[in-house]
Amino acid sequence: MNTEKKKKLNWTPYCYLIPCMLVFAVFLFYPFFKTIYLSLFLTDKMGQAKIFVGLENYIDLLTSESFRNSLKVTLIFVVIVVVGGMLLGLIAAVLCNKAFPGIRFFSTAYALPMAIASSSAAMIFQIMLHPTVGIVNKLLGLDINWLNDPDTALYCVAILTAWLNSGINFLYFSAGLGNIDETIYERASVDGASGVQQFFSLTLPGLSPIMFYTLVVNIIQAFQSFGQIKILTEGGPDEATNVIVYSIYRDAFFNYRFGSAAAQSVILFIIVMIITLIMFRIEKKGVSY
Amino acid sequence: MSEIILRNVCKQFDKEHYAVKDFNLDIQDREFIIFVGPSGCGKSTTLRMIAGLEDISDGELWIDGELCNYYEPKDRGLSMVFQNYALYPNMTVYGNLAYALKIRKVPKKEIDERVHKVAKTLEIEHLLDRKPAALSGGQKQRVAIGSAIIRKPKAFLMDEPLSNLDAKLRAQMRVELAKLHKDLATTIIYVTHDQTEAMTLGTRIVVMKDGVVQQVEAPIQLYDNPANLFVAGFIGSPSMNFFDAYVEEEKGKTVLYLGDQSGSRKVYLKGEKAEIARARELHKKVILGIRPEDIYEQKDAEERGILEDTVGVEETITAREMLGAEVILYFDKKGKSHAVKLSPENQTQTGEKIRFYFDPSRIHIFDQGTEENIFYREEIR
Repeated sequence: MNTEKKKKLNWTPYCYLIPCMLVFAVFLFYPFFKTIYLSLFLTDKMGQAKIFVGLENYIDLLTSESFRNSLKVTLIFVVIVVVGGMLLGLIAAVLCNKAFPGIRFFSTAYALPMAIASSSAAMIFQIMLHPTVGIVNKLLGLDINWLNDPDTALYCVAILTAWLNSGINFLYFSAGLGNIDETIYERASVDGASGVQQFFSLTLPGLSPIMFYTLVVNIIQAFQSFGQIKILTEGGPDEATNVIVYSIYRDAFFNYRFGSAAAQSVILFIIVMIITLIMFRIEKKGVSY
Repeated sequence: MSEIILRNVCKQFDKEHYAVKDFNLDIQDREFIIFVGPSGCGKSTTLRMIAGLEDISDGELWIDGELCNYYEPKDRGLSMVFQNYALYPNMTVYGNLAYALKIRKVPKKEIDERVHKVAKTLEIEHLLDRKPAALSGGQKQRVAIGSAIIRKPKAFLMDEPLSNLDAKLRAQMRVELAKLHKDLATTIIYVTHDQTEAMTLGTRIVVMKDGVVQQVEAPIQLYDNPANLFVAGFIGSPSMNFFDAYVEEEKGKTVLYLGDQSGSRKVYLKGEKAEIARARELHKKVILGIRPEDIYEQKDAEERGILEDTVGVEETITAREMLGAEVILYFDKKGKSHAVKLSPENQTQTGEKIRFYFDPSRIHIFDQGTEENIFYREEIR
């Protein structure tokens, strides 16, 4: 009877999967494979594959100064966004982990960036950073054209993105802190540990599972940031903020070089995948549950 | 040497409500002090105030001659064992034991020696590489105690350390704690609501109720000489039986009429107890207290020569608990359940009637109004 059961394939569970698989297929799998396919061709202005060029798109990219700059800019951008966003979220969460009057107000304030659309935040920053009417220059008594100076533009965009991401990080870390048993801090203070020692020997290890998750999500998110760059700098000045995602957008929709854009997408995908894989490897050593 | 003195220590959470009120206690070096009381009586709060985990609202805390009210927990030189053990989940057993020493920058070699010595004492050497999640309750308990003793503190504070263990393990750990106290020769302040722990471990017991100390006494004195109705009822299991009674005089003898003033059931008091009762409560309604083991069946009462001092009370047994070494019979009186502890040979079953005799020398009388034990003598120590 058992063998009979094994032979007969039960289709019912697979039927339940069909709707979600269909959505995935249309919006994820098809574009994914189409991108890989396109990256091997030269295209016309409508984005149709015309001439097969093999890996030439990739070779062109890897030898191009502009793309190498893009990689470098992206890397700096990601580091600032991830480190800044996570630090902001962590500090805010640690500050809000104690009960005091007005805690709800502060919690809401720290979580707020999560609720702001990146483009509206970018518009606000644009005004704040304006060289003549912007509040930043007024407060600092400086006269810097923040968004049009190649030395500052990338940092401005990155800090804005870090702040935007800090909201959700704050939420993750707050939840993580809530999971740490209060009494271990009491024991530690009787044991003689200072606040800083408690933070490094108890809080950080206690947060490590959520920290890891947040790190992965933040890195992926940072690689994909687009809206604020489009609004604030459009990749400029002088390609100083031309991160890969923006470069893809520009190649595809300004220069109509869909093949090259597709190749960049594939490279971005590979980078993100490799980083994620490495992190999951490290996770086993560094994260204590 | 470690002497801890609490002077009028108070804990107030809001203007009107005291969690602990006027707590006075002198704890001598090497004492095993037990704070006991029902939940919410302030015993844990007091312990946490000594540890420095709660602010002291009013009063003074002296440790070894130093006023410690405003000292940080780490500067008080005490160590604490928590109810849920509070082990650091990210550290191994070794790390947990070593943490307090590491913070104090003790040389690595010495840490290693001390960790292994403590682990050996507590028989947890084979667990040193494990994380707390991989330990059983009893093992966690040992690690928690180990992390406390490794520092050689002035005193140990223990907050219901055995309450998460099963009965058998608790009994075993109780014995080990007593041995540990002897070996370490250090002051221990121990919070519990388990009176068996209190009676077996403590050199002195502090009974608390609603934030107020009711009595401080060595275990056996506490049992034999409770200060008031609450202490009498709280210490002992099954707890003391209480009956309404009247103090009367009969042919020059002091007699207690049970239940009503008819005198159909009575107990004659003798000696000092008779004098005190007559002097303080004559013709008044009082509460008579007697422990389950001080009530006898006829045969035993006869043997003890108390038969002529008491008119037996006949009761219907509502429940019978056979505990092996003894049998406990329960009967109801005016809606209250009373217990009698007899030898297991007694075969009285539920629903049957039996006549009981009170041992007059073991009777306590509590004032109806103040609930104080009129026989309580503070000088008995």
